[in-house]
This record gives sequence, structure tokens and C-alpha cells, in this order.
Amino acid sequence: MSVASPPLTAARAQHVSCIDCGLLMPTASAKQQANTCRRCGAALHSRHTNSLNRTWALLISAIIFYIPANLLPITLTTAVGKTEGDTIMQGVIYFLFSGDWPVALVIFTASIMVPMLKMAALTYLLISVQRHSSHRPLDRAKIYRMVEFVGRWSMIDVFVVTIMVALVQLGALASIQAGSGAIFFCGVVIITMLAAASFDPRLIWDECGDND
Amino acid sequence: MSITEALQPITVACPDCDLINQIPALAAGESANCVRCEATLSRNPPNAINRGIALTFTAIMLYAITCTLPFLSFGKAGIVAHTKLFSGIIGLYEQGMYFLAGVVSFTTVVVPVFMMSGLCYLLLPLRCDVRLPGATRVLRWILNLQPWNMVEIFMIGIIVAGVKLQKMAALEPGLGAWAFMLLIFVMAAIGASIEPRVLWERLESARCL
Ligand SMILES: [Zn+2]
Ligand SMILES: [Zn+2]
Repeated sequence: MSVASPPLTAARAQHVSCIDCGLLMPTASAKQQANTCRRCGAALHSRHTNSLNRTWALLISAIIFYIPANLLPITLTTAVGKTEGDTIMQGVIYFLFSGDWPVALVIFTASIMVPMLKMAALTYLLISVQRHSSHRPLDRAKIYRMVEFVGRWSMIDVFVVTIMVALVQLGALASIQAGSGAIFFCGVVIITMLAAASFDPRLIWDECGDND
Repeated sequence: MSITEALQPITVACPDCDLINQIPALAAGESANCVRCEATLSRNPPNAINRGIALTFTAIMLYAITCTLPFLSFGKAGIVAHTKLFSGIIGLYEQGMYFLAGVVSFTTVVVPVFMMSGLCYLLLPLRCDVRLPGATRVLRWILNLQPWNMVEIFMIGIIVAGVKLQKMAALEPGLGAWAFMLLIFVMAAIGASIEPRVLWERLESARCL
């Protein structure tokens, strides 16, 4: 590791690499082909287009959706003629006190902890990139990878609702319907997945090694 | 055909941090990581194409079993509900939850079916170094849709729902559910045995048809 020269990135070397197939080519020859990858046909960009604004927009919509997702019921249970709505948190509390703490833990982790940590992590990444921070880039890269990897698992609760809707149609005995909270929650999961995908992790490193 | 070729040395930019990396030749089973951010840059899974074909066919058979045989049964005292994989989607649709029905069918039916058929379309001809029309587009779609294939999350959902409902009545997994369980492992194995770089390089050198 030399101290003087900044790390050689594709951008500094006047190259661009294809996000879909990884082909590395000079920026000049990419321009000649209308910025389209000659191997796979994907559009070529040195960095995701408008990455920060897009990620912010998606992240803020996710945070807004997250409020009704938690306040509205995700399931409506009808038993002996009486209909009752359950929010995500009510479900967690119910299972905690009925002794099924592993279920409570799974739902709490997937539906409450993961989405909140994910939105907090994306906020932190966006702010640190906007402030041109060069603070611990490897740790921030690992945070991003975690966000990308773990986000889809929040879908568990949506699937649980689906399966219960399918199964609990026992006529007079009981029936379960999906509540409107489930729609918002599903929206949160999808929007945060899109937000993570629109964030360009290369921005974390762009400020590093610029000593000149 | 069964001998895996070593991957040639190559210069790439890390997709996660843009650093230029010189990847040395990779023998079968070897992989290379970015020297700066530790992202996996390239792997050379042994016998990728043949393994990919075998696993994809297994996955298609398991998925067909999942769709046709009873999935779960639930109930007591003579009132038993039998469900298939699609019952939940149909149930949501009938309750007017079109958005949820759409998302669940996309992530557990449309994407997995597209990925399995797309892999067949790519891998079978590649075995004879032939590529079919639109092969590059199919591979791009497969790679980009990967996070939206949520069969393994659906499986965990089944287990959670089972524990949730056990107070009401017993939940019996049918043959379809067991096939689905196996499908999760086969899908994971497909992911591990297929490396985008290998497929791109093979596609590039394959004859067009
Ligand atoms: Zn490309
Ligand atoms: Zn890297």
C-alpha cells in the first residue's frame, strides 16, 4: 500500500464496468456504443443514476408507509360472529404471553427490528455519503451488504397472513382475513428493497484515498 | 465435458467499491475477493453447467409436485381445510386484496417459474456451446430477479403460521409441503453452483442460433 497515490478505481482509470455482467471497458469505447454493454446489452453508468435522490425518496416513502403498517390490523379474525383486528405488535405480545416466545421472537425480528434497523442503516449510509465521510468505509460497506441481504426476510409476516387466510376458512368456527395493515407492511418491504438496490455502495468509497 | 476448465486471469472493477482488481487464474472451486472491500468478485464452481442443469430439472420436478399434491391440511372434528400452494393467493384475491395476491404470486410463483425455465433455456444449449435468441436478456433478468425469489421465506412463513394456529387445530403438512421443503435446498444449491461470470463468458464464446 503506497501512501501517495489514491486507490485505482475504474472511474479514476477512465473505465466503466457493466453492472449486469461485470465487463470492464474504457469509458471512451462505451460512449461509442451509446453507453450500452457490448456483451449483455445493459445500460452503462459509472455510478447508479441519481442514486442518492432516488434512495432518499424511496426511504422516506417507506418510513411513511411504516406508520399505518404498524397502526392498522394485519389480520381480521372472525370467531363466533365476532371480528377482531390484530396489529403486528399485538401479535408479538399475544405470543409472548401465551408462552410461544420463539414465534414472538421471529415476528418481532422480521417485522419490527429488521425494517427499523434497515431504514436507520440506509439513513446513516445516505447521510455519511452526502457529508463526504471517509470514516470506516469497510464497516459501512458491510452494513450495506447486511441491509441488502436481510431485507427480503421481512416478507415472512406477509406470507404468514397468506397461509392463515388460506387455512382458516372453517365456516362458523373461525375465519381469518387480511387487514389493510398487511398491504402497507408489504409496501414497506418492497420499497425498502428497492431503496437498498438504488443505493450505490461505490459512493461509500469514492471519498476514500483522495488525499490530494 | 466433465472436466472444469480453469478461469483465465482477468481485470475487473469491484461492483461494490469500483477498485480495479487483477483476478488470477481460478482453478475449480476457487474464488477471488476484492482486496479493498472483501466483496466476492468471481468464483469457479466445479462443473457449473452440468450441475446447474441437473439441479434445475430437480427443482422443476419438485415444484410440479408442490403445485399438484395437497400442501397443508388443517382442522378438527370433521371440518378440515385442505389447501394447495395457490389457495392462499386465491383466498387473498377473493377478499379483494389484489395487491397482496399479486406480490405473493410474483414472489412464490412467477419469479421461481421464470428462473427455472430461464435456466433451462440458457444451460441446455450452453452445454453444446450454443446460445438461443435473447439468451443474454434472459440471464440479465434471472440475475436481477434473484432477490425476488422468496420460496425459502414462504417456507419459514408456513412454519410460523403452523405454530400460530396450533392452538386452534392441528396443521398437517402434505406431500406438497415436503416437496417444497426440498425445493428450498435445491434452489440454494442452484445459487451456489452457478456463477454469473462463467455463464457470461460461455455465452460470449457460444455459437448463435
Ligand atoms: Zn454487460
Ligand atoms: Zn471492492
